[in-house]
Amino acid sequence: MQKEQIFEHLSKEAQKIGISEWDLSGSSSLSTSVAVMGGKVDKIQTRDALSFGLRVMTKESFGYISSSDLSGPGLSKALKLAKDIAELRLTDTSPHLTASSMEKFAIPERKLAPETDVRQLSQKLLEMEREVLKADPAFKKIPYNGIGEYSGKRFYLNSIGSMREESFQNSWVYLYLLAEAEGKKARKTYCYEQALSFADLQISKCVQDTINNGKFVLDYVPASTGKRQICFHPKAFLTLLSAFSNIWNARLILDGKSLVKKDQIGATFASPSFSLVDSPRHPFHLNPVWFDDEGVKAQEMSIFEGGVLRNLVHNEETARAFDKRATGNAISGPRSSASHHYLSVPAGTRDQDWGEEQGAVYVEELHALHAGIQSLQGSFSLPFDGQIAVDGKKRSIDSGLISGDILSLLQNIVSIGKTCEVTTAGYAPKIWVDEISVTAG
Amino acid sequence: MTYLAGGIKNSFDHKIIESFHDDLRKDFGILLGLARAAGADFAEFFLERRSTFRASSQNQKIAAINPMLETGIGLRIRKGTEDAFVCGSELSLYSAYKLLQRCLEIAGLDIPKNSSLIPEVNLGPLNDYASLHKKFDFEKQLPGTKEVAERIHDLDLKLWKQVKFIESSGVSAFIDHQDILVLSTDGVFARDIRLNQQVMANAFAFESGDRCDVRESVGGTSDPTFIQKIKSDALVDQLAKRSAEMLHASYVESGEYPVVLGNGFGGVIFHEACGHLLETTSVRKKSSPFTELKGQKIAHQAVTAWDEGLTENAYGSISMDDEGMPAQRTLLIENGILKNFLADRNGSLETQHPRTGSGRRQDYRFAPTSRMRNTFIAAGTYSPEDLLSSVDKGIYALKLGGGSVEPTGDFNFAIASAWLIEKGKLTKPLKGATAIGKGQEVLERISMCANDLELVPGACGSISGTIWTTVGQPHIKVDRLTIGGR
Repeated sequence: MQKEQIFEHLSKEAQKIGISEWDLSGSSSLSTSVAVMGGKVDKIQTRDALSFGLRVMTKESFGYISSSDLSGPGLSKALKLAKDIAELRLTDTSPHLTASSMEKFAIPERKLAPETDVRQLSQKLLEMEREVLKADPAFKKIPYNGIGEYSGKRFYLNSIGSMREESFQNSWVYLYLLAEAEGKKARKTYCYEQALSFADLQISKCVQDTINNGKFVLDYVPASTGKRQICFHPKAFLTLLSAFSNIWNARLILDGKSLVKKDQIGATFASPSFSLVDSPRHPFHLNPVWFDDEGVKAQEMSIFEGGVLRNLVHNEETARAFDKRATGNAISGPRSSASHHYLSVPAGTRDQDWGEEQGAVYVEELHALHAGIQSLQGSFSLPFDGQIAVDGKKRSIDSGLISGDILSLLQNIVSIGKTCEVTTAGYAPKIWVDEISVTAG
Repeated sequence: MTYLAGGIKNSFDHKIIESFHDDLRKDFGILLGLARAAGADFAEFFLERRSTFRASSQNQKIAAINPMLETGIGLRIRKGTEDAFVCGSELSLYSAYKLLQRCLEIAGLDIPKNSSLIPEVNLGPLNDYASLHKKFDFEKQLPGTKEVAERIHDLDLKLWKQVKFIESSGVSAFIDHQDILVLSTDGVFARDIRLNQQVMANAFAFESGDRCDVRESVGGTSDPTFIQKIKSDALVDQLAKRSAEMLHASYVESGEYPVVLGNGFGGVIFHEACGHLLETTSVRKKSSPFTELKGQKIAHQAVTAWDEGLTENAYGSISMDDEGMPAQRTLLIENGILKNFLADRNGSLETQHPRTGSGRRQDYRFAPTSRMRNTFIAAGTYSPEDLLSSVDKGIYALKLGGGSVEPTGDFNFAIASAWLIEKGKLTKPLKGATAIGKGQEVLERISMCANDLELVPGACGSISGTIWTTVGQPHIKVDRLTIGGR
């Protein structure tokens, strides 16, 4: 169904069963992916996905239901179930639609690239596999790999007539190479590239990076255990920081599930050199976001400024509790929450390379965040892929863990690189932090 | 019967398939026949109707109620060594036909011409595990929304009474009711209903700058009254005790230690260090260090390990796997010797290891692959005290978190709370850290297994999505493990 038809159907059905206030947010997408193995196509997949959340609001309460059935009968059933839940009045929150969801702004129409033929995708990936594996006799296999595309629409509608829709699209490719040289441990390297469309993917860069990194990781040395200064790759830093996004999440602060308390907005949490911005339409964000799951316009917002926590991400409900305006970060759900869109760290002043200091450690990638992050305790202990500077040369680290406390890490930022890089986790420069515990594996 | 390809498409409409019954045999027999006539070596439909319900209470208030309804069809086709998979959320014959068209297209196969003769696949009688195990009434027997909400609210209130310095709390209940039907060209026509339930509780305490977050969960399968039977007082007592012990605990010092791992969730070590590497998902890619080692010693002789889907009400138990094969009991390691791998249909085809009823997937959006069920190290003969007293200085990992493993065999898992062992005694509580190692090395270092085997519920994420599993073990001693502390 088109959004106009959904609106018509829901309006009519809601009226029939006495519902005056409702909203619906959801998305539909089509994804295609290919994986290869040993010179042959291994798996081809296409997924047609649809999901939405429907909220029915009454005077004292609300009901929420998630579903994948956007057909007429499916919507009617969802509406009835959400109403039943609202009438139980089990929660004491009663969200209501606001004028922000009706604010007028133009969402530029995006011309999406046409779907790429799966045979073209698989041929390209087979070529990539072939090229990488012939580059070095130690390159034995690429057990995990993929190339694919993803496109679709996000939509929001409500009973007072808001009807928003935006499209998204991206293409991606990755290679996970296993390298095994005589008398050495099995080593791995991983390269990932994404772009708006298949035609824009930097295929050669992905192949070359995999080859170069594959050779590099074969020459590994152990790290030494102890506390030291670390240089974080921008992606590693943003990934770690995002795992502690409870710091700037108003919902979690109100729920007592944050490292920050309500009265600490405006307090200094990080080094004065550090700032952080949420940019829903950052020039390097592949898919600009115009509205959130409550239909509110997404806005660029400074989270940290010179180390000071300035703003939080809000939905309508938390904004009211903080006497602020909603920031366009709402995430729909039975307990509406909020989340940042695209993080960026403004560049600093350091242009000295990390490898110039003997023994310096560079953390390129962090693993197992689902296990090694204690977001309420503020602590982390994570395996990493990285490098160490030995006699002026950068060497791959065998294996290791970094451990620490996120609030101390923010305070211990000693310098910020001069050049920002586009990463899948956001846009940032390299970041140097003191006093991080490293354990050699 | 034989049909003409041209007449088939018009016979399918958008009418939603409301229930999975024997009458679907004919229509899907025709669709599967069409796949075979197009040149597919194998085709399999997976139909799903799923309803989940989640309720949560936070900080002594009911915070969220969320029913979720999902339906869909997944279809995979195999031609030679190539697998094609498509899925869609409309549960109708028309949708099944469109998915078939799409799947054949991406598999590089042509839809037979209108005049082509299509013999249907003769599916056997419905193999109905839902009926066999009397699962049809599960939904009716489940507690109502209000009752679930009240129970978790009550548990939440108890946390605030018992946990000292509590700052925030969360208790949630999750009910997952899945009705599935598998139909394939090799004649499989099987249905099952699954019911999994879980209650999770956490308490966050804060005092004098020290923070402590403790969590506990309980889970059950196939028992609609599970939530009503939860011993909430015992759960709250456990959390309160652990929070009091761990609030002012220091962090583990980085280094290598002998480690005694607690029973139950301690089994994460085997799940990560070995379990995933015994799935044919890894073996078929030769990305498991154990690929060529069947029949050889891969672990200390103290280690015997199983993976099975049969233990009554265990979280990873299934009547049939997602390829329609009845659940099995699989001996993985016997006294250190590698005996079997976990194989799904394709994994078995490609590695020649026998199928073990381990083809699993999160839902219709994923193609199945070999996955674990209830995976555990078998009980040994020692007492837990024997293990502790054998350690001069080491770590007792009481509560473990999640983990992961790489194709290199490098694994990790989180230790949520621990104790320092000095001269065989527990002397000091320690806050968590992460342990790392290589699967093939750590298995050789499991030198003692106690006699207190316990299975606990968990979830496992991998290429076929997130599925319910159990991990388990008795207390075990690992002679040396790297711990990343402070």
